[in-house]
Amino acid sequence: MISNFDEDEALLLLNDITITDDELSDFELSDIEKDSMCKNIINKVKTKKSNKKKLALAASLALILCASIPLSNRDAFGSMISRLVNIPDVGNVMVVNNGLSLKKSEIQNDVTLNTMYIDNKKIIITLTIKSPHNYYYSNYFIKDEHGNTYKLDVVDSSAQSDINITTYKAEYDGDVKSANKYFLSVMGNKAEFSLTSSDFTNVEANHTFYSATNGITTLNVTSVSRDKDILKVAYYVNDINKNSSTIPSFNIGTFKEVEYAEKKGYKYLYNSTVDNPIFKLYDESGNSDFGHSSQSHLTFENESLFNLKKLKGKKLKLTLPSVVYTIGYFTPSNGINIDLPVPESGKLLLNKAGDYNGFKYKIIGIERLSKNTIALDYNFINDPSSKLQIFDMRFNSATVCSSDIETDPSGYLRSELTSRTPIGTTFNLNEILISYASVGPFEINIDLDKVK
Amino acid sequence: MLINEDTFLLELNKKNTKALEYIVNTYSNLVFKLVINVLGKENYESAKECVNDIYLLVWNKHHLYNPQKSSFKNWLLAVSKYKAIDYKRILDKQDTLQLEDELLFSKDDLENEYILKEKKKELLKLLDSENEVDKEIFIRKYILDEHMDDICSSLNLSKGAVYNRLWRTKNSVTKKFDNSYNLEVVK
Repeated sequence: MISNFDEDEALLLLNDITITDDELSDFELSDIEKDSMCKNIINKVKTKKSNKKKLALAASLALILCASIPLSNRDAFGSMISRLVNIPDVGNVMVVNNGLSLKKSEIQNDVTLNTMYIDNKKIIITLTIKSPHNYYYSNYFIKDEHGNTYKLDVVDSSAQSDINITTYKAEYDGDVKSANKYFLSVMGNKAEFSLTSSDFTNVEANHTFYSATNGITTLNVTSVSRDKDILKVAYYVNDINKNSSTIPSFNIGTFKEVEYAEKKGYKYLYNSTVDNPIFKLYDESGNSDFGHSSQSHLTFENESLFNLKKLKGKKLKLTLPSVVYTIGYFTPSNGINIDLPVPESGKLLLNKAGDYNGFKYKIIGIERLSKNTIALDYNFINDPSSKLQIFDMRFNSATVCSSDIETDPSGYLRSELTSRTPIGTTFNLNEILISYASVGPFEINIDLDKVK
Repeated sequence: MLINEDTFLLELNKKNTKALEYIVNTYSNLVFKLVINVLGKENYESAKECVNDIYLLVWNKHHLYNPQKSSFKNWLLAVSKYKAIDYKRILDKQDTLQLEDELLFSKDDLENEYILKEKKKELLKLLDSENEVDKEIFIRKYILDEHMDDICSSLNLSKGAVYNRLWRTKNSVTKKFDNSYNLEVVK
């Protein structure tokens, strides 16, 4: 903004002004737009909450009993991933041809260029900027010595608002001509980076040092390194169905965040469960430490840090109880289409079985609670022998804005759905969201004697 | 827990998403009307995105609402205006360097964060002792970056009156500052 008041100060000052009707347009949102906006916002907040959950009291969802999977430690994962490279702070990159990455981070004023990856089809940078301002929508241009210019768009960011530090990841997709010099200007020329080919190193395809699989999902560890008492593990997960895990991180937060939380006196129940998997590193005496995020972590992380001071000996075991996925979305196009009869009053038993992409459910009954509200009683059905186990299932409808879900004492799920318009004799369910876990545990032995 | 106008603030404090749902349902149209007024009808999609950001901001910063000074609806709309103007700047592609040329305090001050912090604290305190309309003009000009014409029309004052009041506030605040602060207020 024009003043150098920070956002909090501005929001406080805004208590002192009066907005008049003249400042409002005549334009209105349609009911459908309002509904979709409402769902969008709530989903965003819930996603954030679910990420924070790892630092909060663990939700008491039912644990799924699962058989342990024999450990599978293998070297070099093979040609399937030979071009997939896991670059710290950048993430997994499919290297097209002679990929180069920055040897070490560069600092200019309040900007740190953490890393830069460049090949003939893409450029990726991650930057950490110390500023109260948001540079998400800023222009990031890279020029080479021949005058070729590439505009990078920010695709991810992570802010530590209490200390005004934000990390941005920006990408350019398209043809990149080979060059010996690159120039990057950030924050309106406040930080200028001039890089030559000697600042870069060739990116080699990762070797997977260790992996553990349940036959569907594989956890791959691509590097294990040690810096004093901190053990750094780089990893990625792949899946035979090429699904992507929906949990962006298997860490509980940065060391600083955890320290802050503990100082505040929060009694956190760190719990690594099938529905909320967190990395744990054990020693042979049973001592353990959770995986921590690096300081500049972005939404999707690919490394975990462990405090070795909490562990004894050299033989360690890294464990992850599961990998979590989501299927179906709260949008009608990816959903279902089920018409349910609605009673004029009271409850109607339905016992209607269904299946969405192999995931089974049973709608037990429907109850009218008011003119606009119904309650749906249902259950999801897990096959105990399957490695894929549902732990949450939501039904919804495009006409619904408000919904609430709880577990009925009888064991089934009860979802209260309120429609904007009165509900007649039928109710159409056209949205479904299923969260499921590919169940491990995924376990990897790490020998500190072999770690550099 | 039933969420209504009496309980939603309490529930927002508890991070109950139902409370957020309540304010989205209650005010989304008003917020959108304000945002589209700032961004213009040609930026319809950006306006919807902006409304999303406003609610996320309110979800995280609702503790900055002061019920003794404003109704929640009014504060939410003021926050919406603040955010919409921020969006407008991005859409207009004004770069950050230009913005910083217009900072309320001189650029040199940024080198001394402690002094800057103290100045801001002082300024906030001083503003509280100003006449309400004068304070509103000041906030609209320096926080919301509104055009003088818009300030005149929203407060139903002539341009001369607004300039006078702004000048008076600026002078009053400047005088109260220690001379060594060398406050550079408005051009």
